[in-house]
Amino acid sequence: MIHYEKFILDNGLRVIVHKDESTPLVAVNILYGVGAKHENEDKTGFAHLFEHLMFGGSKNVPDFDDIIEKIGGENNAFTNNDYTNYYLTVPNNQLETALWVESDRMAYLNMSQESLDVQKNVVIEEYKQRYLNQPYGDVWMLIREQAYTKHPYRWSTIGKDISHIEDANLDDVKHFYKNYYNPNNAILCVAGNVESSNVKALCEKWFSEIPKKDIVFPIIEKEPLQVKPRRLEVKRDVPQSAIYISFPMSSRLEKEYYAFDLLSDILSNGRSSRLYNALVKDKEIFTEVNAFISGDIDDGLFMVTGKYRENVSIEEGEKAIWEELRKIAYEKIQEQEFEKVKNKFESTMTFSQLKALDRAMNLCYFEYLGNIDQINKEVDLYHELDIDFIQELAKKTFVEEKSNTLLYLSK
Amino acid sequence: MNNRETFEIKSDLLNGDIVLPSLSPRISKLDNGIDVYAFENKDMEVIKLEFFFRNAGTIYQNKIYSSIITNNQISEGSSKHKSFEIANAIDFHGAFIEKTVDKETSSINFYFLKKYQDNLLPWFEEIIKDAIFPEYELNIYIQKLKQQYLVNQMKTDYLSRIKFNEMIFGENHPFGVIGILDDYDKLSREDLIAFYHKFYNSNECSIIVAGDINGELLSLINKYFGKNDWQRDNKDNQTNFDLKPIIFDSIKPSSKLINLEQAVQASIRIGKTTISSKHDDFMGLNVLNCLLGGYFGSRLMSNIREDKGYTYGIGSALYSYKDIGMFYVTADVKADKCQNAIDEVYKEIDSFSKELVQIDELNAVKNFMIGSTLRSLDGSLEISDRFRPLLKYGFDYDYYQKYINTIKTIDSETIINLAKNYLSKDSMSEIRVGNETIIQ
Repeated sequence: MIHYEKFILDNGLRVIVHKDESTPLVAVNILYGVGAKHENEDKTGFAHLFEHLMFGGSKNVPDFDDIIEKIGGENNAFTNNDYTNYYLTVPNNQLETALWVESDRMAYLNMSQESLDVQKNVVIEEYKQRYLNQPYGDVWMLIREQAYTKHPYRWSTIGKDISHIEDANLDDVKHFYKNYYNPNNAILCVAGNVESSNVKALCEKWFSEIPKKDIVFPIIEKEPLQVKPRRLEVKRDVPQSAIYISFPMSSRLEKEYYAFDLLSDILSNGRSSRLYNALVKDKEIFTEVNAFISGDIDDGLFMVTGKYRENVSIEEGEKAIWEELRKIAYEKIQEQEFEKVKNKFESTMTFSQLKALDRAMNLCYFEYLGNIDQINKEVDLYHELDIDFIQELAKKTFVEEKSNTLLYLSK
Repeated sequence: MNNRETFEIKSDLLNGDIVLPSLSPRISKLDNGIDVYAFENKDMEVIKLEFFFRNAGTIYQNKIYSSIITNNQISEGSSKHKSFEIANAIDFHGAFIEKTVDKETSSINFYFLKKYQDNLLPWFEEIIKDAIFPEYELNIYIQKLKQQYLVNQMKTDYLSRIKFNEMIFGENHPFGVIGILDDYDKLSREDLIAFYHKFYNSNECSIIVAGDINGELLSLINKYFGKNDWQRDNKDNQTNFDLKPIIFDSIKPSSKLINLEQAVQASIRIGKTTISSKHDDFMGLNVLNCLLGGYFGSRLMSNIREDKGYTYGIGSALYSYKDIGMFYVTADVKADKCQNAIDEVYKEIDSFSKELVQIDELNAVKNFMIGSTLRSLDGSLEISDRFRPLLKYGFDYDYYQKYINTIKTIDSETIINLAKNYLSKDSMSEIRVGNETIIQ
């Protein structure tokens, strides 16, 4: 059970306080409700590029990292398709410094051509390091383009193309900041050995002067129902061929989301899972095989992937995956197996929330989802699912016309 | 109203007394003499149970890959249960196994919820004491490793790392030797069994346990691991392991270029062997390393990423083994700026021997390092992780307190002397991996 208090400042900033007496540190997490899905399709990669610029200094804090490091803290950020998240931890007595710097960059960020030019270079190198200079590095870009035709999940956070980053200009930057980086589009969580009255006073002190603004969100088109299978074959300079099959799945808050998660766990969480034992061990088709959900807030993807062993035909591997998908849909799942994945979820959840910072991030995330209470209901939501429900879902989902197959073949 | 312009940062990390959480574990002995080091934290319902094997690293293996594969395959079958049955029991109780190997030691870590401890301990016993390394499982794993090997040959960062080790330690030295694809085929089940008998037994093992520990857990550990039934006196073990102390030759600095045509970036690594953590200068050298490339505001990051934009990330590291240390700078850089990046790295390294570090910069690093030490000791699981090197190298439990004191008191004169003694430009080896027509 994660305890928290929540209050909202007049300017719309939502503040969550989580008390953890065991740590000498305090975590401050800020989530801004803007991610890659809010980008214009001709200017992708922008939310992430902007995240870099948030470290370029503000009116009263010339160097953000410098100050956090000087007080013994550590900070970083990440961007995904749904939102952008900034986090830091500092010694407990430095909470006010942390709120001062966070509020300063929310209100008075420096945006210069020079800083933009350097960060464009840095992000282009990040693009190369993560996506181009790695074997299989472009897989996710291909999967997104294949599985989404309308919804902006069809591009990656890093952007569709390096040229989009190269073309970003200072006007875009300023406009983006003005539109999205406002208190009414942010969620702040303070976690540590703190009193909520004190946190409230400090948040009032540093954030309340920042005005609420109207935010223009683009209209995000729902992905149309897929009715035909899609196939794509690419040849790449990689040592082993791979297959990626994706199926459209539910959004984050639907009951189905949890069911899909359990289906993926039955298929591939742990050494005792089905795909590993059937396809890596018994049939010796793949060297690695995986099933997982993309975890997005809007309608996401259910993924099944495999890396082929030498001298195995692509068709054989594909057929074997489909056999397992049919099995999970049509052959009764045993209670023991079902209980196993539920236990595994409970344990994963517990271990992933050991630190105050983890809990702060999760609290902001659930508040962003629109239902902070759900953070404490997750385990129950999994436990309430029954086998018939998840198998019905498997029957509806794992059908050819809803599949997207990417064959990533070794040259 | 507040005044943003005049907000004053008061950091007391350098003046006040820093009280670190205690690294003194509760120590007990199992009936067979195995030491158990316990770090309690009642707030959580989780436990980490680590079996630490003090000589099961790669340097004493008599066949390439046997150390790492023995470690990995330890849970793949016992005399009583098949691989699947073991995995199923572990998964059913929501437990996780983490296996690690370094050059000198190895660990098998179990993470689990306290409520399942009774059910899980017998399974852990089978894994640790009764591994039989089935041929079939081994072949499956080797297939995977061989493919991974081929993928790695296409990665600039991977190649720069392993080839760099070869350069600074020597290609036939246990610290520098690199396996090739064929070595996987030369490895047999018997090699793993021999390695397992020699290095995974009760004489070689220490236990570190952290989290929500009760007396019951400690007696369960004694019940399953405290008997004299896994000393493995090696009567049947025909394999000879050469356990003599490792000698480090002095190797001349060199430079190397590996051509990888399809590479979009270049990976660089520049560095040398150096003193180990036993040396009095090691802690100070750590401060110097941090100034150079150990944090976001470091000289390397400020210059090569934030000013020049040649890279997404650049850093330096100081790493210690028992009797030797290693220092290196590493980055993936723009291919056509490879030489510029290397020049800037040397310039930054050199500057520490030429000019005194300004007090502001030094204080910033001191604060950062004290803060990160505090962070690294936040929670009993973290403390138990930090405890492992103390056990490994025989340091006192107040090691981190001494570390904090060194950080607090070190001055610019000491830094310049350390730079002159340990980081002279001429002592560095350097490797670059990328498309040679672009990076040259």
